[in-house]
Amino acid sequence: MKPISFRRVRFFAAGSLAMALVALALIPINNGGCSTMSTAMTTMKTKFQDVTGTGSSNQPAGNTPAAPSDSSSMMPGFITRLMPNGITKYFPAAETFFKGFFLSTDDEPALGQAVAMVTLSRYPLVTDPALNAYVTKVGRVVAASSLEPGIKYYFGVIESEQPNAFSGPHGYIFITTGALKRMRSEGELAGVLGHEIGHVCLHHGLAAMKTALMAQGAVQGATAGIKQLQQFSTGTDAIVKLVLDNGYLQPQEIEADQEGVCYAMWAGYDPMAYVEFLRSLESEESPTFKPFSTHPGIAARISAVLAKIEELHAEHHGVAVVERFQANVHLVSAPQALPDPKTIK
Amino acid sequence: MRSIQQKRRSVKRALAVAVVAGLAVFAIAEEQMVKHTVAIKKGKSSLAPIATTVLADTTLTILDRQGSFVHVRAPDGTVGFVMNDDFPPKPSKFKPGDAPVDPKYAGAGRGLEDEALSYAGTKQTKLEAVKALSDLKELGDQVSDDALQTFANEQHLGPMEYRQK
Repeated sequence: MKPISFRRVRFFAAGSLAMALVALALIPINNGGCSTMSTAMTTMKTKFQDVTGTGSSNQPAGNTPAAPSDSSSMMPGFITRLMPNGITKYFPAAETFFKGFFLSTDDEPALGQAVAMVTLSRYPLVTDPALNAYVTKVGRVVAASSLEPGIKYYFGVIESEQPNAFSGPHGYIFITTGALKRMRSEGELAGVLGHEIGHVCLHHGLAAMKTALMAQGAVQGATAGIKQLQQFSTGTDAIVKLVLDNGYLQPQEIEADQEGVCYAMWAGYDPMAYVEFLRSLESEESPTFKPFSTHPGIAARISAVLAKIEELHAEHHGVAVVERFQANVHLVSAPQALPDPKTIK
Repeated sequence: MRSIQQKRRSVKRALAVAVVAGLAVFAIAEEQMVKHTVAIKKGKSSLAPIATTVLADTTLTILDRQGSFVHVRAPDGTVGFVMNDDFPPKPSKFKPGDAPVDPKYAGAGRGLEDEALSYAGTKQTKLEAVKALSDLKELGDQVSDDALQTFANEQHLGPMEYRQK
């Protein structure tokens, strides 16, 4: 038998290392990186979930360990600490790249606040503490049944006749007055907030920032100096563009819809209330009026949500809560075609 | 040649060192101070029953970190769960050292992160927007867990195991 040469061993070792580096580099570029795990966890969770009140009650509802939070860190802490410092001095662009690469949920609170400030500079916050507190309570009840129940979520109502809702990282969520005016029950509100909570739990904003920072690091060149705040700005701008202008990617929106309807349902709301809300928007849709303009087509969303509800056999479980909604939301209902807020400068 | 007895002694010594080192690691338990009055919950949910309440600046012993929840022990020995967000945030990778926070923004954005305020300053974000977020955050912090539980119980809502029958 021919002995294995040292050269061959070296060749295999180098090959393995190169493959590992390529695999690591590809993980954060995939925007839906954490989604697969989340979907798997959701599926796992639904198997144990007692949505119909007849199944196993051993598995606590909405109490699954928040794996996406951990998974988005991707790298052990010691590498996170060592890598950027070691290369900062001579290769600032590489530092930006690696900062994007190692960005974790620890960085989300400041990002969330920055995105929220930009949102509020475009759409003024409704100055009705009672209304904001009510929406906060509904949102937090839903969030308590989400994959990330340990985040402190903040909810606000913003002035815009265009029905829409926005969420940045770390639980800063806004819903427009236009959306609230078109709702008839707390269940509908829970569904919309659940969708936005879905984006937060799946860390869609963080994924966008990772990609933006890595791209910046890659194009900046090894000698260009990049300041800390510039890095923060680049990432935040990427999330702002995503959240307020372009919207998340279609698969992310569908995923957030399916996650959100589960959260609302696990919190005790009727999942069909959300479908009814989407249907009412669909009936208003026209070439000049596109509700939830930063979201994909409503028909596709209704199909995806219905498929999820059917999969869970939960068509008419839970409550819609009409009276409490009407007692707390006193906005005048006036559904009409209005310009898309994207065009407002 | 070392005798068997010497070898056994060496092995015993190594084991003793390993045990002591292991115990030392456990003895140096992580501790952290809460940033405001916090309700320690019996379960991993904001709607779980409250085990005890601790005041701001109380030091809690961290037993384990479980996703976005932290398993803690209070000074009175009560064990339960708090949110990660109940502790001051970990230092971010982005330090605003190269662009200190404008005092105007610091004043308007009480309770907000420095990085976010620096960003707002460089982008000339409207001060009203910064103030509005600060107010919204304050309002959100005022929605107590008790109020949330009452709200959920009114309509039999919340995670299944914490719903009031």
